[in-house]
Amino acid sequence: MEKKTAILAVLVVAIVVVAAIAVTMFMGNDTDDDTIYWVQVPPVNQKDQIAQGLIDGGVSWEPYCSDSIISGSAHALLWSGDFWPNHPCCIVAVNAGFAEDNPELVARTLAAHIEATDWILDAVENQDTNEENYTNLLAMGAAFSGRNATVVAASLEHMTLLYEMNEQLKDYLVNFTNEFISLNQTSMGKVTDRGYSSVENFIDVFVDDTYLNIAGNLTKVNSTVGTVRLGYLLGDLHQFARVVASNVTMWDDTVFAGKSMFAQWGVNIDSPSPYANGAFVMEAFANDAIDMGYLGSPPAIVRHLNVNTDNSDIRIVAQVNVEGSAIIVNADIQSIEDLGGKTLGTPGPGSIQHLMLLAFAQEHGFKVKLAGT
Amino acid sequence: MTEENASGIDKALELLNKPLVKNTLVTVFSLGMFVVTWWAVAIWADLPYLPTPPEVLDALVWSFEFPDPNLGTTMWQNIYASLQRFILGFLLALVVAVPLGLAMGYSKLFDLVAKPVVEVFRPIPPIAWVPFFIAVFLYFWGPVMVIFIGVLFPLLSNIYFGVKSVEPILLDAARTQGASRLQLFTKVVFPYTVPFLMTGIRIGMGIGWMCIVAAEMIGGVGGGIGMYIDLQARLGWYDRMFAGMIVIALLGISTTGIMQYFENLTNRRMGVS
Repeated sequence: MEKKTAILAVLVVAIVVVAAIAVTMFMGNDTDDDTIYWVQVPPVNQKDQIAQGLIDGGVSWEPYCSDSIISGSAHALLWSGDFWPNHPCCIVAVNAGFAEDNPELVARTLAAHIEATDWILDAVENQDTNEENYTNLLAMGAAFSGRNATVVAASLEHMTLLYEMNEQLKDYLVNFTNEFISLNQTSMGKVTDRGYSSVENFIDVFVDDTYLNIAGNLTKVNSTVGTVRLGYLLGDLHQFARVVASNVTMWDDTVFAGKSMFAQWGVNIDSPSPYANGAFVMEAFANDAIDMGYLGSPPAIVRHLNVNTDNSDIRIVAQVNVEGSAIIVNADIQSIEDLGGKTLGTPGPGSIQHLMLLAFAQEHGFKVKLAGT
Repeated sequence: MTEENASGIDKALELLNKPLVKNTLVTVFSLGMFVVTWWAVAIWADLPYLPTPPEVLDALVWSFEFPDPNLGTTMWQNIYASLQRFILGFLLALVVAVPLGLAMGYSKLFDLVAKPVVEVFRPIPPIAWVPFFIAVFLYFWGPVMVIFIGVLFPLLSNIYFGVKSVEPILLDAARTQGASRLQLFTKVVFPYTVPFLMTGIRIGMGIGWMCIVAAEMIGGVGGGIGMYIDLQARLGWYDRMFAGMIVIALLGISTTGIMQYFENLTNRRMGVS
């Protein structure tokens, strides 16, 4: 009797479970035309997933936007700069304690960042007259990102590289922080726990141009001033300046032969492996694996506030790029209205691309929901 | 001491000596000690990565009451989504592992053919399959397949081992009485393997839950506990992350607990214990 009951119970449970699953699966999820659905897809995979028809589009950064467009799997529905002109994206961050103890070293790292940025801007601007520099630039970008030179050239057209920090940057960061609070990615309590009286006060302290100012007064040196453990993102062309500043071969015909720009400014760079996203760069700060890092401003803000430790106490000391992200979509989507009921891949909540999708959707009267909900 | 009091104490002592009461008390004590230790370490270390038990409890309650603003799902919905993947992945593994394990264990030729392939795939961690499965099996079946691969091998190994450990004397006895090859399989080998299968199912279930975070890290649609944990870790909300981990632990305990019951039941019926 006991055996029969047990078998019966197992059978009933199994049938109910399988039936429930089958029903929910075959019913599927109705999509609403007033809703844009999202699913977490790393930018590097968006091109293939759009081509496969797995997603209808994606929100991505360079070089992945240009890569998808040039491959023919997608076109740009909206460049981030058209929606948020001059919006901040990647930044250089430094551990506050490290900066306090090594102000010159931090400034020297930024001096290399500045020189590399200017070098890139000059190479792009004078590509017709100084073809060698431009070809070099594209080759460096291609080697770093694993994309071809055409993709790198297109990427450079869609983002603005820079280093200065201004009031517009602060205004954007205040808005981003308020958005993150409303999305419960961080909270006002976390802001005050960190010792800030308001979001504005937080950004005022968080964005620190001291070292950028010192960098302007420095000159190159023949010796090594110190070592900086520098984190950066895998294949992210927004951080092109770091790639150029790390190159050791392009000065072969000069007095700096064999020395990277960082080395020319007296900085020995010790970089761990590149990180997949900004949250991992912040984790590297938290684990005391890096002193400085190139990363997106959203993870820098959110994790600085949420992970209240000395290691995560960082400052933004320079910009890296503004703009340079896009909503890329397949050929079926030709207008903003067509986005209703479609699924877009994003790097996930906590990224600037996801935040842009939310803001953009809201402005056009769409709701945004996780696919399958 | 009055006689009444003495008999009351005796009764209490008698109750304490009952295995169920004793085990329950020890379990409660052990869990209590764990929570107290965790609490003490959390206060002493004062790290954002290690929230205190009340903080995690708050986050846990919050996650069931309100949808996460980023995922739009409550913990109930996340549990439903994960459970769906878990059950499908598990059933798939069962459907593949049972015949495969029996065939490998019973047929030497089949064993020779299949074993090298199984041994090649067995050491590959389920997480390594995630990008491939998402690309090939898409967002719903991709994570299901990650769980499938996680559960498959412990299940397969147990069934295989079960068939291999059938005592030769039983087979000889059946043969002597004229059992055919099919009868040997259905009347001796398969029944002998059932307790091993039940153990495999229980172990596989535990491993299935271990795979859920990997399964839902990329491309989880409809939410999921793994997706919730991954997101909260990325944002640095460690109390919410731990809340998600506790939910997985509870689900794991429940499912393996149920299986343990059936395993014990089967073992008793089959005369194993």
